[in-house]
Amino acid sequence: MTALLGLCLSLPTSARAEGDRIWSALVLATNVPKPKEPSPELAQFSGKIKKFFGYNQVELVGSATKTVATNSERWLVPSQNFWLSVKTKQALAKGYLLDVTLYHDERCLVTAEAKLAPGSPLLIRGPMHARGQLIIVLQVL
Amino acid sequence: MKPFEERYTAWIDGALKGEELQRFEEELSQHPEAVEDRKAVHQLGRLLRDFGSAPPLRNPDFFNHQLLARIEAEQAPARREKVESAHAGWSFGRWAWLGGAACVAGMVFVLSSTLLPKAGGASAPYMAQIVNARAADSGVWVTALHSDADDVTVLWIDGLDYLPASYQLQ
Repeated sequence: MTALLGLCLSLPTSARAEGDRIWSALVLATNVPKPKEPSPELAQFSGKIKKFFGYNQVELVGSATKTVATNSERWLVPSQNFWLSVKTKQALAKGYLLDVTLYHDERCLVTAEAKLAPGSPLLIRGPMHARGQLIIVLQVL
Repeated sequence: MKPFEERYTAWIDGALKGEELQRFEEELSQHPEAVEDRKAVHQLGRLLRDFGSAPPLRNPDFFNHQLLARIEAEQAPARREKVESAHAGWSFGRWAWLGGAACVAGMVFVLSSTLLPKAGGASAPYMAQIVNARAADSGVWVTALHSDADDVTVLWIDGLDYLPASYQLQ
């Protein structure tokens, strides 16, 4: 099944033009008596985070943006504690096939192969902080 | 007469000559480890000459951030406390089975949501998909989840350390 999915994902009709950017953010989701409106960068998916994770406030801790290029590696450092290595394996018709590695301080947490497209952010549930849930967001702009 | 340390340094560097060298080597007979010391210094010098240049940095952004984080961590007082894992009382095999079952369930969930046709929806379909994922540590589990209702894909990581209030987020 995994091979079939990989085959489907690897059949491009036409590749995306270079010049796209990849954006990552560290977000803190909390439950507070008087939740604040999310910042503009989070407007697109704060609703998804609130609904899926069950929190009523989403705050941006930090973000980072890099350009995307096929067969290239980019380091995204949205905060001093969390960073990502993103390797673009293939440009697809509507997105990119990426190798994503998430680090927390000096520790590698997870490696994943993911397909991302503009308007379709990937959420990564990070560790729990005393103030709330840390979530890493990865999105193609 | 020069101090012993000065003559010792000159001897290591090969700067002592003639009678001075002979007298000093007689004095050194009481220090048999000195010959090994000189060999080690000369070997270090050869290595530095042969391999003195640093390799070029491949990822300067990552290196700089990592270096700054390390400096700050060493200068600031210890601020991170570890919370005892809630895994006490469960055997490793039980956790491994649970993690494996969660991974399989997550993959089935993702595959079924990506391969089955979706009904309706005039707007651009949600495209984020996890093809595969693995945790880097044996105590950490990763599950790929997709919710049609919330229209979101989440890479769910379990087994991470709890970060106390004193852990600064920046």
